[in-house]
Amino acid sequence: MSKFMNLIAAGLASGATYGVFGACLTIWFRVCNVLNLAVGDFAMLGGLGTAVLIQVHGVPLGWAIVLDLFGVGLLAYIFDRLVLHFAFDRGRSEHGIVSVFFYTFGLSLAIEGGALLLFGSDLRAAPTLWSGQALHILDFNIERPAVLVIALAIVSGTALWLYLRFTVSGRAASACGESLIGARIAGIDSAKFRRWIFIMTAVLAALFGVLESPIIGFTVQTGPTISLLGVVAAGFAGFRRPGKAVVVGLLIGLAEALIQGYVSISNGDVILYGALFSVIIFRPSVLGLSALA
Amino acid sequence: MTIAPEEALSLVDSAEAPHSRLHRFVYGSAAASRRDPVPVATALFIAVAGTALVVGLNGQYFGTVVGFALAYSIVAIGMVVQLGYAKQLAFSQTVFMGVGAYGTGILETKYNFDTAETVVCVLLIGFVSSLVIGSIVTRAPGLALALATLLLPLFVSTYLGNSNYFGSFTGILNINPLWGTISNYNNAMTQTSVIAVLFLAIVTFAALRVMRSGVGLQLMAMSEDERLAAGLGTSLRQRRLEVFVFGSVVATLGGIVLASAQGDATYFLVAESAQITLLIILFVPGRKNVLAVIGGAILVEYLSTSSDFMSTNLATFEAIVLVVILLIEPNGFVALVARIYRFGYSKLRPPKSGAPAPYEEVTE
Amino acid sequence: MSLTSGALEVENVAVHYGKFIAVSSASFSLAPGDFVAIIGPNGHGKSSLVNSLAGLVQRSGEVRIDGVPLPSRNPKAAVAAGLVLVPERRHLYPGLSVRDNILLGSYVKTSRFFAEKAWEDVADVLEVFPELSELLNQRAATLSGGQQQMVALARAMAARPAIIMLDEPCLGLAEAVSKRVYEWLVMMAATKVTILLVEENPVHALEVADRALEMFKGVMSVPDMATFAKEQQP
Repeated sequence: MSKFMNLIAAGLASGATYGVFGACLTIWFRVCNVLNLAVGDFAMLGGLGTAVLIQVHGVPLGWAIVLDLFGVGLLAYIFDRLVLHFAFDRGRSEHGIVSVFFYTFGLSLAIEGGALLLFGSDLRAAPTLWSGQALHILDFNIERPAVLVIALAIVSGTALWLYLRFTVSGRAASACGESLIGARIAGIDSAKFRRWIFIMTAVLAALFGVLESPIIGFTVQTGPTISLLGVVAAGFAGFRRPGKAVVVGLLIGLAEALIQGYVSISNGDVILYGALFSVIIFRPSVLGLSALA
Repeated sequence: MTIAPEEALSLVDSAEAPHSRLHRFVYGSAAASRRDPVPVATALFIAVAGTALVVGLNGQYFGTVVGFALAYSIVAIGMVVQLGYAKQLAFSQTVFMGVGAYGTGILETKYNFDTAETVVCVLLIGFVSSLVIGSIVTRAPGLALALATLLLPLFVSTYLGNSNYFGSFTGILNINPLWGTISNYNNAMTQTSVIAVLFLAIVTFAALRVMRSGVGLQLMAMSEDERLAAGLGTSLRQRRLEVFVFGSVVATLGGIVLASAQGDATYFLVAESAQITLLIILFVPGRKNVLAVIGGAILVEYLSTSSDFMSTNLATFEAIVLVVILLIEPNGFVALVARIYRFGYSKLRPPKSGAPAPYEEVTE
Repeated sequence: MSLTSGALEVENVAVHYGKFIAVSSASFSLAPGDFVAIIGPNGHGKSSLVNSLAGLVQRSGEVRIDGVPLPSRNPKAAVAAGLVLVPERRHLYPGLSVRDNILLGSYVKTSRFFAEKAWEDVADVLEVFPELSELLNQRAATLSGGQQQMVALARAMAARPAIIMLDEPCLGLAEAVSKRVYEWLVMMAATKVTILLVEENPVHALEVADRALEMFKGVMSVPDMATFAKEQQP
């Protein structure tokens, strides 16, 4: 029983990763119909950037986090102004594969390259914000940083759901992705929504990276690997519902942990990816993607 | 959708009896008044120029670069049809490169097949597997297909890296070149490259023939508006499957060539980084231009090994170029050059006398 | 109701799409409560003109509401000044509910944070379109064309406009629904809202409008109504 509960705890912690990324991807896709393939790289910048500021430059923890998050937000703002503004706001938006994937794909590659120059290829971890022994709850142990990660996932997913569901601003953000012209007719500034939600999700992903890196350690290659499952989590939420993306992410994490724990560690990922692949192909309605196709 | 009226009519022509399809495939669409020379001419140009290039570079470093680039070029040609033309969001090309590379390695090293037998059998395996996988994945709508095929390389590379049968992290070594013996590496490399050039010419011919035929128009129509294309008589499921199989079999061939050129097959070939390289090769030079992607493959392969600085920072460099090019011209560098040329030509050419005012052109 | 009175002045407005001149010159003015129809053949600049007034496309020239210049290509400023467009083909939010579609018409003017409160402020539009009361939770994409047009009109009303522009509001609609739209126009005219109606079919438009302006090959003019009436006779 304790093995099962420990696997549950580990699965929730890793699933929180996918969930937060899925929520970030979902809300931004909902606003502008673009997949943010750089979300994992923002998390990497959060974890690695904070670690380097503390370990190499001796910046105190609190300031390191603030500076790092500010830097990530600024990078997101600059990217929006330099690239997305020209791509989408100047009356010549290219629809389809180029706009959906490739602008943020290029950003992802550029961030990885820049991070390699700035941070090197070493594995690093930011200090945990909640140190101490693992918590013993019921029959299982859970590391304190993992609790923070899960809490962030639940809080952010809930907050984003509440925003979209109950506020006028959330409705307006959704309208931007539904009909750009319709949004403009109502006086909704879609460029502003796109920009600020991009910055918000970048900072959220970076914050997540700060909390997650003490658990697994980050390198410059960490971001893209884990963000793909975030894309899958977002896909299972139809790229529309951030709360559902968090739930799906947690479930994917649980499935991954249980398969690795009870079936096979080495082939656990293979089984998981195969299962996800099968669901996507044989039950695309689960993704709610037919409306987008 | 920018299709001329006479081209649109040929979309209807395309739904004709199967026995004439091969004739049209070789000699051009029924709407054409004469045989279309472009596919044959392009293939011949590639065959002749490519052979001259690889023979001329025998023993040189750049010859090795071209040899590896030829494999990626072959795959990229398939992607021109699949992603560039038909806009099928399938990111599984590296998986089928893996089928080609690992299939070659397994058949040669474990079952002692000779080169010709290996090529035929592996292409057959690639065809059957793409048919099976394609009949399943092409059922999924747009983004679902993209998601599913993004997962495939992850799934396959993880499996290959853990499988002893497939050599685990080491992969399969001692794969023979397509022509020649490994003991004379330089000559074998050149001879293999010559074969690769011929494969590239054949694939280019096939791709151009598809793109310039009624089938190509159907694919273009599907990429713009599937309901409209279905209304014109296009069988969507059939065409989606055909495009998927074409791209995958061509990728299999590219994997065979790469494994033969490198002498090994490793799971890195199937990893996401390889898929990213292919996407860069396709989108930066021009996703609908076969000669552009060949040039792009050679350039990317050269840059990746040219210097420590470039190989370390190539991803950043590619990213910046990708974003800048796509911002200015989403169809890539070649389309950008064509636009600049047309702009310059229109400025230099004197205006025609009696040209209609802009408004009158539209209202006619 | 809107804070502006609804006086619209348009001076030498031109709209270009690259080299193509959609509107070469348009000048007119509307007093508060005017009902003017813009007629003319398809492709001669009517939609481009109203889209430019609404801030959807770049324009040159000047547009003033109650004497205050309106910036070009700024839809938010236009809506804030009380100038609202019901576009050709409606452009609703297909995945959102009817309630949200209508509610978002008041986005610029509302100070509410919660959607439910903002809806309470605009729910009175259902008195004009009672048939929408049963459809409030339905996604806009699942509505018929006529129902969608009613939602588009309700969205415009939620913005509390002083000037309402309609671009081919009856395009693709059945005769019965078109009649409903025109009844709504007459009702709106009675509330002294300024109305600018773009119609390719002039007969119905001229039955309800006070006067007409004609767009022909991008140039605006006042049509000779006597000659025009003669041309419309079978």
